[in-house]
Amino acid sequence: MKRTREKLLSLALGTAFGLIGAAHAADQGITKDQITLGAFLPLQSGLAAGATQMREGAEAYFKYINDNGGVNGRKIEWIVENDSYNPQQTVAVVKKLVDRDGVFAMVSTLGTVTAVAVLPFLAQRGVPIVNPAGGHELLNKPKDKNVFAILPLSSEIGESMADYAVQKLGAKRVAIFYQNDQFGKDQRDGAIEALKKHNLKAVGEASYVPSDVDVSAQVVALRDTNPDVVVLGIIPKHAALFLKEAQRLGWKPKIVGHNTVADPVVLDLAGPEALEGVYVNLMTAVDTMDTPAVKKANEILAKYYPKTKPGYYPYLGMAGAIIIVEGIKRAGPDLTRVKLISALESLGRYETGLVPPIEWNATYHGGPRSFGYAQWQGGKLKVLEGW
Amino acid sequence: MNLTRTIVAVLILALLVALPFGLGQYGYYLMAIVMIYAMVALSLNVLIGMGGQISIGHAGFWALGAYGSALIVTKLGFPFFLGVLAGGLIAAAFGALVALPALRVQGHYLAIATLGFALFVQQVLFEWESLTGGRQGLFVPRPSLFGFELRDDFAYYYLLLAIFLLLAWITGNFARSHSGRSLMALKMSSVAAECCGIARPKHIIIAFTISAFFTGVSGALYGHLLGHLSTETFSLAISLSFLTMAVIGGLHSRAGALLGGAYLALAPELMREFKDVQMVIYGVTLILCVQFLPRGLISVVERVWTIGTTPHATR
Repeated sequence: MKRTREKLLSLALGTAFGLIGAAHAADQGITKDQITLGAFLPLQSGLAAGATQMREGAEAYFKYINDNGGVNGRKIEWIVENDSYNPQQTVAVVKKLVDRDGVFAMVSTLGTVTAVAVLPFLAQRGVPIVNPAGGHELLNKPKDKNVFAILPLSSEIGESMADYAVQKLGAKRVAIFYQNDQFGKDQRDGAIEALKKHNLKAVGEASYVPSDVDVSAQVVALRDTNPDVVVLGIIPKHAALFLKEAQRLGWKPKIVGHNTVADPVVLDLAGPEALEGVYVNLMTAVDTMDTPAVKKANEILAKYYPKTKPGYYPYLGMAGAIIIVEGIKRAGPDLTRVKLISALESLGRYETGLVPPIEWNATYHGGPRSFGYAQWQGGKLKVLEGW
Repeated sequence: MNLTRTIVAVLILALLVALPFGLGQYGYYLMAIVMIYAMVALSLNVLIGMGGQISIGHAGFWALGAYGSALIVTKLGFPFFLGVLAGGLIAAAFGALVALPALRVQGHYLAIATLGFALFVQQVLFEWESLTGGRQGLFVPRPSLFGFELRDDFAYYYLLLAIFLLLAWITGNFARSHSGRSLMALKMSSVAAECCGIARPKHIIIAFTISAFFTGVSGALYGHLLGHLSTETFSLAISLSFLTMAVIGGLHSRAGALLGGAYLALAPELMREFKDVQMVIYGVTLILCVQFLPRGLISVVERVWTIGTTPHATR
């Protein structure tokens, strides 16, 4: 009964105010001097280290914006909930963020299945989500009007790496080493597609599963196919295992790796000699890049989270924060979710300097399609080409 | 005595009906989760409370129900209700299978066997990508009744409440049936019961089947509430949570199942404010509960209600 009354009342009020004009009906999470945003991050899980860095990257930028007067006079409050990388918990915390805390939008979340699990709910409520970091078509090349991706499709990274091997490194014989799951297989498929365009085939393929602690058999098998270039669709630990094993065998092919091979962890595990000369695909900045955007990002991070080293996750988190702040700014003082979405769609080619340029429009909300490349030289990453 | 029981039952029912009002969308969702968990607690009441059989593999049955219903609704286009029923039946069939080792092994060994079953189910669902979506998971439509979609968790809560009451009624009748009484006799002394002509295998299989059916139904309803399934949800951790919830609530009472469900669904909410120390508090309350309330939270309620009578009277 009460429920029916409530519904009737809200319907009546809705009609009354709806007539006055939707432009004045502010969405939830907006007050005169504050905007509430939210995120779910796996702060207690195998990905906890990355999640924490991602949070600190984004949080640092919001603090910086707040200390400089906020956006259109409003300060940003960002509520982060832990979901332990469990989709069931993600659904619960997102319902809490949207229905109880009343967040206006979500930004810089981490996790693939966890994000996919909440997409229908966010779409139903029309809550914008910017930078859901993960590897899934629905996240990297979204169809939903409210989803905006900053990371590319894994298959496009694979394509780019194979193109780089053939065009820039002059490879005739390309082999692929990949992680045997969606993350690695998508990269492999992309690489094979790209090779086909150059009338080439992969001369060798090998894979591992994340629980493997030894990849020596795969290294030997790939060496026997005698490739000029090996493409790695891989995570840091196994990149280090691969490189150390290749070094032990004295095998020195050219190597092009996923962005994860730029992770300082690989350097710690494999050492500078094994890494020497390895090329890496870049879909976020590296801290040695000598550009104003990267320098500013490093300064902001150093000011608010001095213990956090700049790198993939902090940059990724911050890139999401930069873009949503820009979108909110352009959407103007009478902020609504619909206005934020159209502001993001009209950003055009937008450079954060921390990730390759974003090119969203009314029909494309996907991640960037151009990448940078860097090379490990003497234990340091040297950027060869930007995006 | 009977009058008091009726009054109590009516009061509990009135409370359950009135509970969600004014809680808001997030509150409705939590209440729905309470009901779904309570169904699992009920299933463990049957298996552990009556049958004396342990299981740390109920996540497996839960997963079978959830995926079973989701696939039948999405791939075969069956209505929601049939999907839920089918989810329960699929889980029940596997329940009967899992009962087979239970006929030969007991205690720790049975626990390990059920654990193996749950891991097996999780792995198969994960690898069978063409059917279940594997790592990417599977979208599940919202529940619908007679063509009306229950978009709102508020309406869904009442459907869940009705199903819980139905399952609780079945549990009560089962406890008084030939099988139910045989199970209790077997639990007290297997040898004595078998000497009296009770066929142990038959009743153990029945207990597992019913328990798995309840859990399967719960899983199916859960999938439709969540809107998306992936195998991460059906881990060992959730099996253990189920066991904990059933013990904390009380293994010998249907109202205890409800309290257990409420505990598992709401305790994390209440403890969210404590942030990093919440797992410590959770662990300590668990130990305290088991130490001082071996018959579960319901025993507190029972003691208050039945001062002067025997503690078993309220079953």
